[in-house]
Formats: sequence, structure tokens, C-alpha cells
Amino acid sequence: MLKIQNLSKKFGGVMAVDNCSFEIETGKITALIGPNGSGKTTLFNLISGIEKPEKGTIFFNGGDITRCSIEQVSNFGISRVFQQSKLFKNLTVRENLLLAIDNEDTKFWKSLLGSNKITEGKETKLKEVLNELGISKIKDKLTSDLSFGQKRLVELARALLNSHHLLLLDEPVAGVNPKIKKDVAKLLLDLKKGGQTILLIEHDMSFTASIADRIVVMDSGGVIAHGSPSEIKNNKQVLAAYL
Amino acid sequence: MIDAYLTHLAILIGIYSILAISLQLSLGYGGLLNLGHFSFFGIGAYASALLSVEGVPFVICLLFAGMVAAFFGWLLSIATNKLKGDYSALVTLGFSFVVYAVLLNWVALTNGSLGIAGIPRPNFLGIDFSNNLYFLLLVVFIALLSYLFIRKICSSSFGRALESTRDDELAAKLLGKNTTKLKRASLLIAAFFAGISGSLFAAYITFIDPSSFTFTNLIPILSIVIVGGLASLPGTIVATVVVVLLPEPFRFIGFPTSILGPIRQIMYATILLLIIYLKPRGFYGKIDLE
Amino acid sequence: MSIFLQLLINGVIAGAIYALVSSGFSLIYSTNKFVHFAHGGVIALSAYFFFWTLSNSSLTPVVVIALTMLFSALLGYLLNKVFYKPLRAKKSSSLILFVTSMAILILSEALVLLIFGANAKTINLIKNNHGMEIAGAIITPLQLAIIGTAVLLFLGLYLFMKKTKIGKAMRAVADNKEVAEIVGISSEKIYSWSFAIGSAIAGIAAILISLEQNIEPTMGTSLMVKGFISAIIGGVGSVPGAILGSFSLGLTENFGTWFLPSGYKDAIAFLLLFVFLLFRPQGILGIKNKQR
Repeated sequence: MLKIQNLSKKFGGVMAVDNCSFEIETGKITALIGPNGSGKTTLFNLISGIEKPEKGTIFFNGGDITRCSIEQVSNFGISRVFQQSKLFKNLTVRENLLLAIDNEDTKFWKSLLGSNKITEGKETKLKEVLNELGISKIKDKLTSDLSFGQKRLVELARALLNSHHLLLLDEPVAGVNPKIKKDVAKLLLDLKKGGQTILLIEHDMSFTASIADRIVVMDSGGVIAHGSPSEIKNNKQVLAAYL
Repeated sequence: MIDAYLTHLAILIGIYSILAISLQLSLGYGGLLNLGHFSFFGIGAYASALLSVEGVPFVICLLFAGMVAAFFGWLLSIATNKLKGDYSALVTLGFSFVVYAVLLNWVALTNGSLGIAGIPRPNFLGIDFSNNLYFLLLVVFIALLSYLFIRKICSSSFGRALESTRDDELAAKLLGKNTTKLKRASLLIAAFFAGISGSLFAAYITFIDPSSFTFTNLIPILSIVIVGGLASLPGTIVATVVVVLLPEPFRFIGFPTSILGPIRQIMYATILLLIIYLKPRGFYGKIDLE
Repeated sequence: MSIFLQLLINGVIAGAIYALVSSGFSLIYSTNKFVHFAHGGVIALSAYFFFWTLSNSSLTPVVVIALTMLFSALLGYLLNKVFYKPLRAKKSSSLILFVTSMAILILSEALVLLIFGANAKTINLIKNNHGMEIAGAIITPLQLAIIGTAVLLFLGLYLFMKKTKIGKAMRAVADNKEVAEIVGISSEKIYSWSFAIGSAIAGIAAILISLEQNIEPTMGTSLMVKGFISAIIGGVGSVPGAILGSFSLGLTENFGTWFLPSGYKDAIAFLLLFVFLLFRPQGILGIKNKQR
């Protein structure tokens, strides 16, 4: 589904991503791990179109998306959750989620004349996601008034509602309490059962090992190992990178 | 006498409220600190005045003013598009200087510092708007239309998309929103209404010169938007009334005009500072100034 | 040939004046990272302070010059402490600081207007300011002094930034505030220093400009506009850039009058600004940055 080929990105003189290649499969959860500064978030930024690589190609569903803009990448079906909160803080939870569903709202006259209605199907989907994540009670709150854990959930909900084939999650459970962590783990497994493809960055090894099908290990911008959780646990190179 | 004075103030309130709600659209909803907004007012005033002294009917002058201003809004959006925060504010400030310089120096078109005199008052549908009371009704009517139109935009899904761009442009892009288009449309519409209010201003005062359109004139309008509170349209109207009326008592104390001018400036600047320090949400604002 | 030389000289003089304005402004921007438009207000208030003290005291000009520089440095320092520091403490964005500085500029302009009136004031400190002829072009001793002072000032500023502890700390904060704080530099202290030094330069600018031209309440805004255009052309936040931008602006404006009537001088400046804003918003020396 997503294929990274010889990708390189330099910041100043430092290679943030260095000749990086790997592939992720449809319907699997792939985890990207590695020490701080190993280039994981930069790689996400390259996939999302926020940064442009000096070298290499990104294929998504067979098409080359390396030079696409952020909006185009999103419209091709890649949805992303950031490490830090990227909610629209002066809007309510519901409004945040509507923005993910509504892809006609930038059409001025259509939305002004009221012909851009949220269809019932979309409304149902919104309710489903709200219930699934247990956030329907807070749907009319401003997102700036939410707790840290609630914000993470809303963010996840927003990424889920944004139509997509691939979900990019940058440390979705960093800093949340163990209960939410457990809920998120269950949710991600449920999503996988529903056919979703997920690529996530995570530092919590036990969390990663419990949900990931494949693990890609990065160090100093390059991929040093690639395999199932059990293979990775016994890989000497990986242990060396972490010690 | 008093009636005439009150009518005069009401007309000014009407004209400034159109200007202020249009700034509210681009600042409060679009998140663009447009320090060149007053230039759209000036461009509208000149566009309308130049046509109307040639005898063109007022309604055409009015729409022409809005469209010329909108065209410049589109031009400005090209310059501010890629820029963020204070850099785009600087560009809009530069824009206001450029407009002022052109108004002052393109003598063949604008008559330079001498300005344009003898701008006719509107006269259509058999009504002569030289009568201030009728002119007031015209201003109120256009202000009401503008208010309803902008309110409609802000409460529509387009308005919501615009607000998302204001809060976090990157996140909006990641949801697939064409934020360039959103920002351009909001600036264009804001400029259109600023142009309309400029046209009304020129037709009311019947004389304009470049000095009425320097960037310092933006301060009262900016104060209005911030006092009323960002992203609050009713607040903007209340604030327009307050800010226009506030310096008026000084007139009755008998200060000469040479002192009245600076006192007014001091008041506006002080109001702006007080709001920034004490009440960053303004009086009815939904969102914080930050 | 002599017209060319005259335009060159005029351009350099104008450039020196703009550079006096923009260097202080850019110095403050480089560390504080917001547009301190009230810098123009500091210049105007300092010029009026200079004028008032000169005409209402028996102090010698040298003492008055020193007092004016002290006044402007103190004014800048206080503006930062009273207005900007509380906003920074509230984590206000650079936009709010910018709007605040504009309000301060308008406030100072209106105050000067109230106290001193709208008419221009002349300072007749230098008696024998007759033009000298150099190869057919005319320059006055004062104008030579302006250029000389400006060059010395920039040299001094350069040495200060390179050699002194404070200067190095200022560069560190300008480069990366977080890293500077990690190595133990207090950014608040550096903000104060930048305001004091940048405003002292504004004081020098005020003195030289008020000797060369008349002083009037709106001088702060109009000088700031030119200083600001210079800073944008050179690259905001880079002092060498601001100086380079100033001379480019002064020369372009004056050579422009070769082709256009001199009334278009300001228009040329704004045209240059617009060209840069559209095609190279990072300025001549600026670094391309998507965040801007």
C-alpha cells in the first residue's frame, strides 16, 4: 500500500532521513520505532507532504505522491494524528469532526446557499465514532477546554472521520493514562479487524509489541531492521542502537 | 441642529460598521491581521468618486467600488498567501503604504494631494439623497445587507472551514482543505465590503484626499474589532457605536480641532492598549487575541 | 557626470539616514522576534527631547547629545519593561506585540502633537553648513558627518556584537533562544539590552536627522516606514542586511529621480518594497523560511 524508496532528507548538514526504504501492507498495523532523533517524525512529514525529500520516492496505492501538496496527500487518503495537539481550539468537538467529514465546505456559493448539507450517512458515521471512542458526552465542548487524554481521543476521531486508506499516528498514547492507553490499543486492533491499515510511531515497547504486526526500526535516518515483534526483540543491531 | 448632528453620527456609525464587520471577517474568522484593510476603504472611495464625478449612477459606482477593492484584495492575497503571522501583517502594512503613495502621486488619475471635490450625492428612484436623513436610510439599508451577508458566510460551513484555517492552517490542510482558496476568498469578500463602505463615505463627505486613507486611520477600526471581540459580529456593531461616540463629548467641551485630532488618536490607541492588556477577548469575543 | 555623482551622494546620504533607523530596529527584531514599530516613536520623542533641552537649558551641545542618547536608551528600555514584558509573560504572539507597538507609535505621535503643535521646528546648532563642491557635486559638512558617524557606528556595533560578552549573548538569543537559555543566557536580560542599545542608536539617528532636516510630529512614522522598508529589503532581523537594504533604498530612490519626477521618490520606495514582498519576502540576506 505504502512504499518508501531510497528516501533522503537533509536539514542543514544533518541527514534526518538517510536512504530510507520499506513497505507496509494493507490491513496490517506497522510500528515505526527508534531512538529520539532517528528521523521518524521527519519521515511522517515527508509522507504527509509537509517536507519535500531531496531524493527518493513515496508510492501510495501505486501512485507517486512524493511531490504532492499536503491537501493532495490527504485527499488521496492518508490521515494523520500529530504528536502535539493540532485541534482547532476555538471550535467545538463536533465542529472539529464535521470539518473532517465535510469535503465541500471550501466551496463558497454552495455552502452559502445551504446546498452543502451533511448527509444522514455522514451524521450516523459521526455518531458511531463518537460512541466508539466514548466522547459523545463532550461533543459540544470547545476543544481548548478538554483534558489531555480527551484531546488525543478527539484527534483520533477526527483522523478516522477524514476519509482515508491509511492512518498515520505519531505517538497516539504518549502521556495518556493507562486506561485510555488500553482503550486505544483495543480500538486500533478493532480498526485492523475492520480492514484499516495503520502506521504508527510509538515509544512504549509493550504497547507496540501488543498490537503491531510488523515493526520497522530506524536509527540515524535509516532503517536498521524490519520484521515481526518477536524477530525485532532478538535482533542484535536493534539492541545496540538502543543501548 | 441636534437632529442634524445625530444624523451625521448615525451615518458615520453605519459606514464604519460595514468597514469593521468586513475586517472582522478577515481578522476574526480568517485570522489575517490585515493592516492594509483601510486601503480597500480608500480604493473604494476613489473608484466610486472618480466615476460619480463623471455622472455615472450611484448604484454602479457602489458596485464598481466593491469590485475594484476586491480585485486589490485578490492581489494582496497572492502576496500574503505563503506568509504567516507577523510577516503577512507586514505585507499588508506595506500594501497600505503603496496605495497611499499611488493616491498621492498619480496626479493624472487621483488629482494628488488636492483630492477630489464635488462628489455628487446619490440620486435614484426619484429620491435625492442630498437630504441626510435619506442618506442615513440608504446607509442603514446597505449596512444591514452587508451584515446579513457576512453573518451568513460566518455561520455557513465555509465559515467553519475558514475558522479552522485561522486556528491551525496545517491541520486544515491535513484534512484536505484548500486553505489558499479559503484565505483568498475571505480577503476578497472583506475587501469588497470595505470598498462599498468607502464608496458610501466618498458620497457622504463629497470630498476625499489621500490623507484620509493613511494607515493610522486603521487604528479606530482595529480598536472596534478588538473591543467588540474577535469572531463576534454583534459585538462589532456595539463596539462601532461606542468607539465612534466616545470622543464626541470632547467636541462640546470646546476644544479646538487642532487639539481634538490628537486627543482622538490618544483615545483610540489607549483603548486598544487597555483591551490588549485587560480584556483580550473584547466584550463579546469568542476567541482570545494572542 | 556631475548629476550622476550628485545622485550618488544624495543616495548615500539618504541611505545613511535610513540605516541609522533600520539598524536599531533590526537589532531589536533579531533578538525579540517581533516588529517594534514604536521605534519610530522613540526617534521622534528623542528628537523633540533634543530640541527642547537645547533651547531650554544652558547645557553645552555635547552634554545635550549625551543626555538625548541616555533618554532614548531609557525610553526603549522602559517601553520593553512596561509594555512588552507583561505581554510576553502572557505568551502573547508576536502579532499582538506588533499591534501594541503600533498603538504606542500613534500614542507618542499624538502626544508630541499636543505638546509641541503641528508645525515643524528647526534646530540651528550648526552655523556654517555651506555645501562643498566635489567634482561638480555638492555635499555639506553635516552630511559628511552623518555618513561618517553612521560608518563609525556600524563598525562599533559590529565589534560590539563580535567581541563583547553581551554582544555574543545577543547573537546567541537571536540565533536560537531555547539553546541560548540552556547555556545559561537569560533571554529577558538580552531583550532589555537590545532595547537599550537599539534605542540608543535611535537617539543618535534622532540627533543627526534633526540637525539635517526639520523635526515634526509625524517624523517618527515616516522614518520608521523607510527604515522598515530597508529592513524588509535587506532581510528582517539581520543588522548587516538592514544596512545594506538602507543604502539600496537610498540609492534606488535617488537614481529613480533620473527617470521620474522627484515627487515619485516615495512611490519608488514602495514599489521596491512590493517587488521584494512578492518575489523575495525574505530579503537580500534573509534565509528562506517557510514559516514566514
